[in-house]
Amino acid sequence: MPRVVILCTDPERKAFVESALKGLDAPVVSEYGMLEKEITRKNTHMAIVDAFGQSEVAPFIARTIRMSPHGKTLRILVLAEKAGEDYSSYTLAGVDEVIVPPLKKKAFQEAVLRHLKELSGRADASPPKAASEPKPPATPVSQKPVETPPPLPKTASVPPTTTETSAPAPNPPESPAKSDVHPQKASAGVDPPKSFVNDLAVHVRNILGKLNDSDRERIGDERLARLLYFWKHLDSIDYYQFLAVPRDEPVKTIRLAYFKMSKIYHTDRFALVHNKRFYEIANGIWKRMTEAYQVLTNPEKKAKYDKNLSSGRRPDTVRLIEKQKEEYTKAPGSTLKDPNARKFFKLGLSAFEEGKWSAALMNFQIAESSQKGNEELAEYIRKCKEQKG
Amino acid sequence: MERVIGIDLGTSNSCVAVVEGDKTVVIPDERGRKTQSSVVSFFQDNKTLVGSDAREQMVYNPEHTVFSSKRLIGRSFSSDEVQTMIRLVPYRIEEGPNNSVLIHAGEKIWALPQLSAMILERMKRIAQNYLGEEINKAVITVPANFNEGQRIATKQAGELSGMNVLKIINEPTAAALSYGFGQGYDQRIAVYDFGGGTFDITILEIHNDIFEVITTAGDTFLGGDDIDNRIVRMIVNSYQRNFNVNIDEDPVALLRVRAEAEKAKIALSSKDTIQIKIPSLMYAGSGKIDLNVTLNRSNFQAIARDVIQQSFVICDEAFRLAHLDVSDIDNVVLVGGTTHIPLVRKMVEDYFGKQPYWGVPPDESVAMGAAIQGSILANVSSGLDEPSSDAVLLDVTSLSLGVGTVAGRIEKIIDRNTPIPVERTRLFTTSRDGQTSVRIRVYQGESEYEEENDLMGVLELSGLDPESLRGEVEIAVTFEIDTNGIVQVSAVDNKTGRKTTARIDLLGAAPLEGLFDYDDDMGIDLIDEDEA
Repeated sequence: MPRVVILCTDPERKAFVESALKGLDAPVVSEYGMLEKEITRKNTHMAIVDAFGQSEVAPFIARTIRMSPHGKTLRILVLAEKAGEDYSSYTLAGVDEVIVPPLKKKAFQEAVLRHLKELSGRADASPPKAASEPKPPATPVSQKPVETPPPLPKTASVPPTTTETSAPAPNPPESPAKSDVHPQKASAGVDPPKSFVNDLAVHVRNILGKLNDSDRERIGDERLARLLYFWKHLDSIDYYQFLAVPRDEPVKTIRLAYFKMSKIYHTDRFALVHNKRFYEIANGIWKRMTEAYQVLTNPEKKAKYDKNLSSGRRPDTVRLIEKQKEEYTKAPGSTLKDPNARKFFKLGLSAFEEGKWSAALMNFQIAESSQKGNEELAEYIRKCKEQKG
Repeated sequence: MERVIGIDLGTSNSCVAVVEGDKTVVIPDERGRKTQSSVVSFFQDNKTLVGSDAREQMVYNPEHTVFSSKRLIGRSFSSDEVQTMIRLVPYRIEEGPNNSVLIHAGEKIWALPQLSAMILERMKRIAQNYLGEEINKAVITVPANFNEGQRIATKQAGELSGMNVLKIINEPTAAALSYGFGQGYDQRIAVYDFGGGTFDITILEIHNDIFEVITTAGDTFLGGDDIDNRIVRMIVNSYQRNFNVNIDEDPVALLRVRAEAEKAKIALSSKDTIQIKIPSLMYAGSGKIDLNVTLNRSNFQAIARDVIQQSFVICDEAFRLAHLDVSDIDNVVLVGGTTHIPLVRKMVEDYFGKQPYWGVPPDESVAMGAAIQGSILANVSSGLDEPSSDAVLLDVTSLSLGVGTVAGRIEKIIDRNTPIPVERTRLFTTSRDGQTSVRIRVYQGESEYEEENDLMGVLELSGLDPESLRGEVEIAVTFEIDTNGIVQVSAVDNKTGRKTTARIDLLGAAPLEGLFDYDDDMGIDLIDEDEA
């Protein structure tokens, strides 16, 4: 019988979970230590972390579970504290699904069952609600993935606590609360969760359509998984995560981190890959890393960026979009000084916009006779002649 | 393993190289020449000569021999550069559609990429002969300050020559690769690239085989040819004075003078005095007169000095942009034929306060760097481990990208020396009620004013909502520069999320298809070496 372990401290949530999962072997515990003990027991398939009252630490807990010796093959679900939060920290912690309030018993049951089914290899159930998650493969990689997991990418063995996995910080990033975390030692940046790597074939199909073997070999599966994962989460991965550097590192460290990334992700690495879509994606990721390097090594830009990011990882905070000046383009005819030229230009323009090329041409030519050599007029005249054929 | 050749497509000379094992080899032609003149010569019987052989024929066929075409490629007809060239060269330069440049030679009309393609094809064949296998992939170099149109046209030329252009890289960056690849350097270097037609200075940092360009600056109209031009002027003026004959009026004579001037310049690198002699140069009144001029080294240096001095003005600018001092440089790498001139090396040494590096021949280092880049692109390891053998080029955009705004001012969107790839988004809006299209002029260059920059093209956003009031429509235009330095533009209507038509007409780009009838051979027969 599949086994689900739940970490939950709130009595109401506890009651909900217990009643929803009645009939399953699903012990509910109230402390991480107990949870850890539970997941070391054989045949545990899933850990559910209730974030209610502990949303600050929930991503850390999830990450720690994922990194524990038994955590690699577990499905990890999170019951979010409330709707509308920034859930990217969970994704980055390796959580398979975030269940968002209001909690509905049936939907919750379905989600849990779906994950269990996928795990046990009878993956025929279509995901009822999580539209953002790809369908499981028709033929899973392994018949017994719980017992015999495919080997992990070697870079997945990173220290469990990093700034990357922190929840949206209520404090500004430079607060001392952040400074005691260990720098990430992985060479290749953010690790995609295990489940993402396991379902690589699905993600390849969903994102790239087809990818031939020689291309796939050139890219390498580890790199492919990372790139696709980055691509999927382009809106929630911040610059620090892209370069795999802790915050508040000196420029020199950021530079070296960028150099390190360049050896792996520079688009030149994929010059012989034929798949156009893949190349676009790789280019998009590399562009973002280059942008990260530029912003984080410029103290002024970095300060601005950190300030925005302190409100959480969102599409508008993970990138530094410099204040976009509203750009009124030059009004047509603004280069004309002569009043007569302006008058006929106006007539010509309205004809032009109605597609009356002959009338437009005539008016522009009259305007031109009043203000000779005007480039803008010449261009409109050329356009009219072109349109007339 | 895939073979990728590296081609330095120069203004005066071109060179091809390939990586064989752990060696980079500059490939000689059938006669052992390591560089080829970038010259194409057309003959009446529809035959064509390309390369050094074409150059040897130049004086007999001046009006149908195209040289220095790199100065024209990707430029618009009305540009100052093209207008200057029209005065300087004996072959016919004509205006094509879309302000493009066409060349009338050998009773045919050619777009510039077609001519460059012939030179590239010649280089490809040299490589094929040497390697005994078919080659279809190349890395081609361009001057760092080549703009959008010039890069596109060069890439197009590569494709017309039957090759897949894996990458366009900047010449100084290529030279840095051939200097530092696999050497384990941790240095800051300056690449001083003085070619026939252009000058570039690039400051790079090399660390763990990563080549990071810090700054690049240059002048597309400063080169060794300017020194030739001065020698030519000197001769022309002296003849005008002594014989009252204007050599300028005779294109053949002028070309002969030019050829001799260049020879004299080269000879003065090793000799103290040179006599320039051309028998029967021109008819003057009663009969033919010969050219006979003596040029000694000190006269020559007087002529060349202030051309060379101009290069240091650009170096100053590069250091200012990089917030660095000349003393911060560990090594100076010389590139380009003009650096053969002893005076250039002397002046470089004085400016940088150290002896320049003189390891790789300056005419060959760019092609070698391109070949190294090609080999890196073709042999990439696929793991996530940091492959120490894989070098990386981190380049910058050498020209600012901006749009024209009110009163002829430029609003910069991407500053020069920004690392590439890069993308920037700007919002544009309508200025009248019911406006259905917005036209945005896109410029490359450093001036604040529109007219002092190169108009790259006009971006047209059309199909906007005619019901919208002034300022209501908001179009986010994204400008992107890729690792080849090539610009791409896309636009999204912010309100509807719909992609808007964003078409950029590259000014000066000749429509290759439909205008000419060219087939795979481009309608030319290459003369066999023996015949020539």
